[in-house]
Amino acid sequence: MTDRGASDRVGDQPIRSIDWDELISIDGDLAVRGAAALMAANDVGAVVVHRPGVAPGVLSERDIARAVGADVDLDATTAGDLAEPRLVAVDVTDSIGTAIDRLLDERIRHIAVIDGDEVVTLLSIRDLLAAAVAAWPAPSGS
Amino acid sequence: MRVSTLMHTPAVSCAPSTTVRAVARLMEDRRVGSVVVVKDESVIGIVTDRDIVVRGVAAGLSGDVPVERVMTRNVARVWVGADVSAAAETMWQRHIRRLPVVDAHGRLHGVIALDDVLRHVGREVDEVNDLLVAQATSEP
Repeated sequence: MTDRGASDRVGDQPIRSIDWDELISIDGDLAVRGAAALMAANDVGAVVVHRPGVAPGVLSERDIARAVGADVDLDATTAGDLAEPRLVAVDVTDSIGTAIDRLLDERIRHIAVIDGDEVVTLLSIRDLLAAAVAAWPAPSGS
Repeated sequence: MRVSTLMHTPAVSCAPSTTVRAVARLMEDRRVGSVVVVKDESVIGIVTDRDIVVRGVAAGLSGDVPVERVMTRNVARVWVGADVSAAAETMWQRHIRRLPVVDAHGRLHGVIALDDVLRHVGREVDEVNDLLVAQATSEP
């Protein structure tokens, strides 16, 4: 048996088939505590952070928890200061399985979806798994 | 396959009086996304980075408050001898990514994560796929 990764097992359908939530994005100047409040209010675990002249980054709950541990002043530090500068992304035409593989390989919980030059959403492992499971055919006889 | 085969052990745990800051450091040092809160050898809660952000930071609390202020109570858990599918079903129903693994006395033995279950399920489905392909190609 060859280990072919999750993409052959769950979800060959394209990411664009997912009915995803609206992207939550914030300005990099927003204080981390404000960003946390926004994430809590929108019930999301990560947001896209826009910074002038720099590619967008992602701020996740993990980044904020790490800052708490480091005793960072969450009212004086901005989302742009904390955001992960490297955007791990898949294209909207990639398969759901490809996105799951990337999440597992990178050990991250959210992945950006790119359509052209634009980030259109952030998907979590749960979003992707739910979409893959929903697309599985029902057992015969059911 | 049993939960005990896939669980991470020993589980990262703390007392309810541990500060949120110390728990956040523990998560970073041990590279985990959750810490189980234990009192008198019993699991009384679990704290994730989401709990720290939503119930702590967003609520305006400082990192000096005890973790019992932000932890999730009524924790789902799975018996160490249960099948992995039971853990997966509980995660799915409760919308959680991690489960404390306990023995018959409720004592903490480890933690099983959604990632571990996903990899396991993926391997099993792969084996079935390979079997089906082999059967199909061997049929006249």
